[in-house]
Amino acid sequence: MSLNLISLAEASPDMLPETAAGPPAIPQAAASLLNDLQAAQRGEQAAFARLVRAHQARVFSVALRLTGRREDAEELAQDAFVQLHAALPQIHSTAHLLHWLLRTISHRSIDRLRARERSPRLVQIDAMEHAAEESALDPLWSRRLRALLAQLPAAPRAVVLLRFQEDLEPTQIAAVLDMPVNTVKSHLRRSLEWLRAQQALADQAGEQHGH
Amino acid sequence: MDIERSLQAALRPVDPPADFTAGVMARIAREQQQRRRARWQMPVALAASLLVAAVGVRIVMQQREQQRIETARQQLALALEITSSQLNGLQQRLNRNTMENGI
Repeated sequence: MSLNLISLAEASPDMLPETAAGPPAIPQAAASLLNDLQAAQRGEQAAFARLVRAHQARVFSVALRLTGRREDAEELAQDAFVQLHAALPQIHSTAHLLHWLLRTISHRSIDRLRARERSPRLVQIDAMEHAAEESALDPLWSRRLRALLAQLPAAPRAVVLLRFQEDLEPTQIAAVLDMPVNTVKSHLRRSLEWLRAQQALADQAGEQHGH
Repeated sequence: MDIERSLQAALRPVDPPADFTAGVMARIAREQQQRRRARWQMPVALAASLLVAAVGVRIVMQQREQQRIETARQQLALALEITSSQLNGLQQRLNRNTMENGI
C-alpha cells in the first residue's frame, strides 16, 4: 500500500530499483507527497491542504471505525490535522507523517471510545458507513463484518483496523499503538478467531433458515 | 470467503464530508490568528504592567515625600511654638524684674 511506496521513495538511492533508463524510479505520488511536505514545512498552506486531502480518508476512516460516530470522527480527524500543522517542523519524512497521523488518530479515538464506554453505550454501527463505497464483496456481509468489528473492545479493534484497513505489519501496529508486538499478534489472532466463529454461526443460521 | 480478504474489502477508507479540508484549513487560520494575537498581547500586557508599576512606585514615592515635608513642617511649627512660648516667658520675667526694681 502507500506506506510501502513512501518508504521506497525515501529509501537510500542504492536500495531503489534500477530502471533501464538510468536512475532509480521514485513513484510519482510519493515524490509529490514529499514535495508537498517540504513546501508545507516552508509555510505553504496550499501544500498542507494537499497533504490533508491525501491522508484525510485514511485518518477519518480510522476515527470513524474506532468511535462509530461520524461527528466524533470528523472532530478527531480535524484535531489531528491541526496538531500536525503545529508539529510539521518535527516531521522528517512522508512515512513519518503517516505514522504520526495514524498514531495520533488511533490514540485519540481509543481515548474517546473508552471515555464513552464508561457512560451508557450507544451503538450506531449502521448509520456510520452508509456513505461508504461497497466493494465487490457482498454488501450485507461487509456491513455485518463492520458491525462485528464495532463490538470488539478498543485495543483489538484498533489492531484489526490498522492491519486490514491500513495494511500495517504487526511491528508497525505495535509502534503506532505503543503496544508489544506479541500483544498485537495476540489481539489479531483472537479477533480473527472470534470473527470466524461469528461467520460460522451466521452461515449455520442462514442454512437453517434455508431449510 | 477468507475472513482476512473480507476484512480488507469491508474496511476500505471512507471519505470525510466534502468540506473537511476547508474546515481544517479554516481552523488552522483561526488558531494562527489567535497565536499572532497572543504574541502581540504578551508584550503589550507586559509593557502595560511595567507602566502601571512605574506609575504606582512614583505615586508612592511622591506620597512619602509629601509626608516627609508635612512632618518637617509640623516639627518646625512645634519648634517655633516652643521658642515663642520661651521668649514670652523670658519677656514676662524681664517685665517683672523691671517693675520690681523700679527701673
